[in-house]
Amino acid sequence: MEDRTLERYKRNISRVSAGSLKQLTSSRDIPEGLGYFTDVLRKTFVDFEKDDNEYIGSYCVMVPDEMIYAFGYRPLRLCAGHSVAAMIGDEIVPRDACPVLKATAGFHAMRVMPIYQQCKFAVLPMTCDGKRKSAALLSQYLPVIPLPLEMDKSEDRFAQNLQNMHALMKSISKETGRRFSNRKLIESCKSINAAQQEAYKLYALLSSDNPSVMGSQVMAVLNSYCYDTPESWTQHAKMLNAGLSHKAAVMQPLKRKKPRIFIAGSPITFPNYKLPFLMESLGAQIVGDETCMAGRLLYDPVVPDDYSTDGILRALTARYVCACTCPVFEQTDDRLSSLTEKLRQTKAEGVIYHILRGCTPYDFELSMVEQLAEKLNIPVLRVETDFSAEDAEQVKIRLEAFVELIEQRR
Amino acid sequence: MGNYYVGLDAGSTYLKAALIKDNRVLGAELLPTGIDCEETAAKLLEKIYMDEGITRDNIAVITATGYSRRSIGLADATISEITAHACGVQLTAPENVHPRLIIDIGGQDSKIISLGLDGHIVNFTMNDKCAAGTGKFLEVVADLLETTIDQIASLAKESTDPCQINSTCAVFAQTEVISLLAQKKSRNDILAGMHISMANRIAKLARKYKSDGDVLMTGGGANNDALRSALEDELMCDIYKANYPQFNGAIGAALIGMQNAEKEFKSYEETENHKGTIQKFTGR
Amino acid sequence: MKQRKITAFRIMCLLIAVVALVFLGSGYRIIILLLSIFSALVFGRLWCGYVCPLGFYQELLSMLRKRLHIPTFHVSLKAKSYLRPLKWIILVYFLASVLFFGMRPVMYIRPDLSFSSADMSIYKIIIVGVVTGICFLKERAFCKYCPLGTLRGFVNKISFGKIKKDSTACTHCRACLECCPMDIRSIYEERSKSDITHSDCIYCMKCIEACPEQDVLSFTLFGKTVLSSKRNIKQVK
Repeated sequence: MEDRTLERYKRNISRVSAGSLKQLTSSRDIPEGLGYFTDVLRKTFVDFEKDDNEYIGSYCVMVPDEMIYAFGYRPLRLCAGHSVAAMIGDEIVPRDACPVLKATAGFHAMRVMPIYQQCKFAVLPMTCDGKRKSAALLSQYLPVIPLPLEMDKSEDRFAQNLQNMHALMKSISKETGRRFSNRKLIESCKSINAAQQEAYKLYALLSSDNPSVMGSQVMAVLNSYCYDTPESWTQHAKMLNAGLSHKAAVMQPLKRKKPRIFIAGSPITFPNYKLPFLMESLGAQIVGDETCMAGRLLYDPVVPDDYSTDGILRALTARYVCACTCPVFEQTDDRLSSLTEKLRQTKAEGVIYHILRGCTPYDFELSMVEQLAEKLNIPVLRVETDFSAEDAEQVKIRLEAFVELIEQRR
Repeated sequence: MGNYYVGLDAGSTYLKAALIKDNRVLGAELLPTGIDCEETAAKLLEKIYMDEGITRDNIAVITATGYSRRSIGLADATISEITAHACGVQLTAPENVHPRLIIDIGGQDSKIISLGLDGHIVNFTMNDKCAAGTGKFLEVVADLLETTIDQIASLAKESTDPCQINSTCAVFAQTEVISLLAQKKSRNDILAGMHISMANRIAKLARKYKSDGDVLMTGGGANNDALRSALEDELMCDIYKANYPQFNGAIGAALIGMQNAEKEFKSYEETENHKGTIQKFTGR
Repeated sequence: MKQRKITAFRIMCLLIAVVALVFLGSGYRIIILLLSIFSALVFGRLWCGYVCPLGFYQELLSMLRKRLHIPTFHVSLKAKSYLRPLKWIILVYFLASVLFFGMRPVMYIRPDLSFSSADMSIYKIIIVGVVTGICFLKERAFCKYCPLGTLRGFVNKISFGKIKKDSTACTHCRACLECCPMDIRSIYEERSKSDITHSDCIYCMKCIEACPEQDVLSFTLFGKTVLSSKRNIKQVK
């Protein structure tokens, strides 16, 4: 590929990423400690920093990070949210595929992002149609180990998924030539646990009556976890949380509270924060989300009953598969009860149901979520969009009407 | 402090203004938006003031809605078209009609708004990407058939055998009209077919939001009786036409201005014209 | 850590009970019997989790296994359904042997009493070995078939100690099912009822300790919530 083309790619990727970062740090009072997380994102998406770490890539949220750490590698989540990459990927994956797949394929094909070039191989859970078919497609860029998963959460399927996880372990061992270390596995469980605790605290701060941080900033902080080590992320998240609690204690409550909105639906990944940015510019407060790259990323903990390898794998399968509320699974009651609980806890006044064009599983569950929301007397708005900025105005008019709707209901 | 309220609907084709007082519509004017909507707005307001014999000082609030609402500096507040239209039907609905569904057909977009029993918005959807369900479509067709948009309704009603229209795109409809004319189809039949095709597209959107209750049509498209009866056939229910259909948005905006003056509400948006997140109305 | 307090308390109870039962003279037999029957009628299988020495023995074996990082084994649902009738067969055998063959029920709580005579047949040693082996590999394996436990279990659903679940707030993470020594599936699978007290439950409270969500699983005594699951993540040791 010509150097000039590569340079152009880099320029465009940096430009869009830097734009998002600028908007994240442009509010009136930025929380102390947010800088670290935007720096992590900047190093990855703007400065294209390389390092000497050994990475194994993963897609979706069903591949246990702890397992990758147990082999001495760092996991790297490769699900992308970049509009420039999606444009390139449009030529590689079908037009009707979801933009996350397009962006991922685009990044691989562009060969300018260090994180995509540095992975020894990637593990891809066989979840939605797009992911399943892209395993073969992406293998032309790097080796891909597919992780077959049963999409049913019954007991027999759990046993099968457990077997699949064991098989994954063997495959990784074969591919890397390394032995699995139980000690490292337990250590990573510990550090990821600590990270989860900070994530809970952060979301609790976000959904308080008088939040001292913005929803888009929280989503960026969570997103940056994918490109960082748990230890470092936890350390800085602790400082961020301490700063935010302190700020919340001294802040004057707003005379008129902003409309509290919850984001449900397809993943919102850096730098595609179009939806949260638009909502916040219209005066809404995002009080939580159930997207897989932010709200659900560090939600359920891993709770092993015993610390043998088999015991920990059982706990990993339980957390990464059974507790996962992605709509690819056959049962819908998990997601609906999780959503009910989150809406109750965040005291949401409205739900924005974000669907990426081509993401049919989420679209199918919309009617059930609408029924649930009607029962809870909370309005829901379906917003279908993709990564491009072309429909920003049209999305804005809908969001504006929705915010006004909530205002009128009060 | 005046007790007149003005609403401006800055659409992409026409700029509409409405004057209300005490829940009555006193005046409604429109002009083509042109390239400087601020100027057009000022001209409109001047005319309205003159007709009613009042001045700017009698106006409590000017509320703007529509596509270019943020560029109108002389407005005190802005509100989205969807909320404006939902509010406007409070004054424009015919007597004994309690709308539960609003079908608004504008120049370049169409909106479906479903209302609750108390008149508040329950849900909405818009078609602002494709011209095929908007006034533009009919304009293009009218032009091709050498007539005007005011005439097409009555011409379509005289049709005896409406044509089947296949193209889904307003631009490609041109090709189809020409081929139909070449087949010696009558103008009336083509027009009737066009109306049915458009009604089809709008009904597809509207069906999901329809519930029991009256359906009200607003916007420029409501003036077209052929479209209204084609929609009635598609949705299989009566569809009422709002009074002042084209001004429903402007009337709604004015009404919101009036209703919110007490609540000290305003759009939260920060723009160059409206600084700060929450501003009180400054009564005059 | 708070999350382990109940288990520590429970092990304490078991230890005290073992000491008491072993060293108290035979004169206390009636009192112990009455206590046992009382606890069975009022609290169902609470005895199993807090007093039974055989239960204590099994807990020690499991603690040793976990220390050594030896995995347990799991039986498939299908196999479980075949093993289920065994529980009732053993119950019938027990009743028959007590009523007709004069066997002392205490043998099930204090099996060591059956070795008091010099009669250490190879048969008995094999049985002890096999049962110990199974109980080492599977937590409380015996308790799933114990006839005394089965009898107490009948009272569980109407006893004054209940396990409650907030089914909507449950995230279905399986932590409760994975740690339950009695493999009670309804803790994990229940999606609507709030009272999930099961006839196999020995009230060990491990599920409540393991549950990572706030107030999803709780234990109520005479209607008052005594213990509830907390949001703090159970720290990995």
